[in-house]
Amino acid sequence: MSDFGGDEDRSAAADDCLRLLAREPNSLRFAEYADRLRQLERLSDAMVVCKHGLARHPGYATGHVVMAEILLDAGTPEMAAHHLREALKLDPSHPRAHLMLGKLLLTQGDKGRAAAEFEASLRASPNLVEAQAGLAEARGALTTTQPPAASNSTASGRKAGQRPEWLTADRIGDLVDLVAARPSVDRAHAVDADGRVLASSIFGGPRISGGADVGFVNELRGLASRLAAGRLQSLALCGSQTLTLYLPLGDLVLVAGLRPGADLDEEISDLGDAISAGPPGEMVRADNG
Amino acid sequence: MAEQTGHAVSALQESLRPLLEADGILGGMLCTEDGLPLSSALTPGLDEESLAAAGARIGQLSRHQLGDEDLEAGVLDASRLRLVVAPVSLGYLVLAADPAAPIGPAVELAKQLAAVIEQTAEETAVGDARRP
Repeated sequence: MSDFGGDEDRSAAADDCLRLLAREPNSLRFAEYADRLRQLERLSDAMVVCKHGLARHPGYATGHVVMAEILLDAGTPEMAAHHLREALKLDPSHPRAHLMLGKLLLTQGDKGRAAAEFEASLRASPNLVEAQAGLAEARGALTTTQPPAASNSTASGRKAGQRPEWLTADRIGDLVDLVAARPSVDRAHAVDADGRVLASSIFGGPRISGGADVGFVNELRGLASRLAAGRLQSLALCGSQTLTLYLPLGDLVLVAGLRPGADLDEEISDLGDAISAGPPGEMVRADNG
Repeated sequence: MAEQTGHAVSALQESLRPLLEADGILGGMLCTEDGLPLSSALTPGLDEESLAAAGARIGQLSRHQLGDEDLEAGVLDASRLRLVVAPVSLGYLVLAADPAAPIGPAVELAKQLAAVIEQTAEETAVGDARRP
């Protein structure tokens, strides 16, 4: 269940979580800490942390998904389903929320609706293995596990905000290298839906907070949805010393720090094209294929 | 105090009006740190209260994400609407823009306008303070 060995290690790790949370009580990282506490099987602590976090950040879809996982572990699937539906109201394409709802429906024997949820999860995150397996199970393992085609795809096969087809789990490093190689990019990293930093162009230096990055993007994705502003394409943060771009790619978030004076329009457009096309070898492969 | 804020807000309304003439800009508004609308110049169809709440949230999250660094502008770019948020002493300046228009000029406009608003607010406050 967890990476922690004995009871003492588990207890120390849980205390560490609570201490970090006490230091930043308003942080969106409550979901990350609550999930860690859940993995440490400290369910009541996890529930308290998540409940307080959601009281402060009710629009944070990932917070509701973590709450659902805690409630599932606690054996209350109806309440878990409520939080998953809440998460999907805030972020209709949240891949993990669709995945969990699919699993829940599968356990209730509702294979048709479960399959629809797994398909929705795969539309947002085509490489989510658990959703592929869930879809196969829901369809009685008789049909293909290929993810359904995304609707309204562009000529490049990718809408802004979606993960390109070439970007499989083992190629996240290639994505970061591709982006970091651009002259206007100073640094880049990729984060998954759970806030884990999967690849980074920087070794050493200040610690990257993947949980904060993904929380920032998810909360603003939910806000765009509530405003009926459409699908979130990108976020840009202009600070007094830095200029940072956040590009959602399905269940991933790509963060690129731009050099001073970089042209935002050019960067967003060129990065989007480069990500769709993939590394140079990818184009050769596609031409030959 | 309330009277001073009133003078400041009507002066700020004047600063916002030219926004509607800028290319790709659908309107602009000032809101408090908590997301209450103070003053706006918006094209029909944009809801002042929703925009104020959204702008303040973008501002708060952007500041939180930047940590110790000062926020100059935060941009939310969605398929149907773009919002550019710049901090001012009264709260936030929020520009609503067409997502098909370039981002860079909208960000620059927000920064310049935020500077004008700061100056206007300062002058109004000084003027009000001198009034008997």
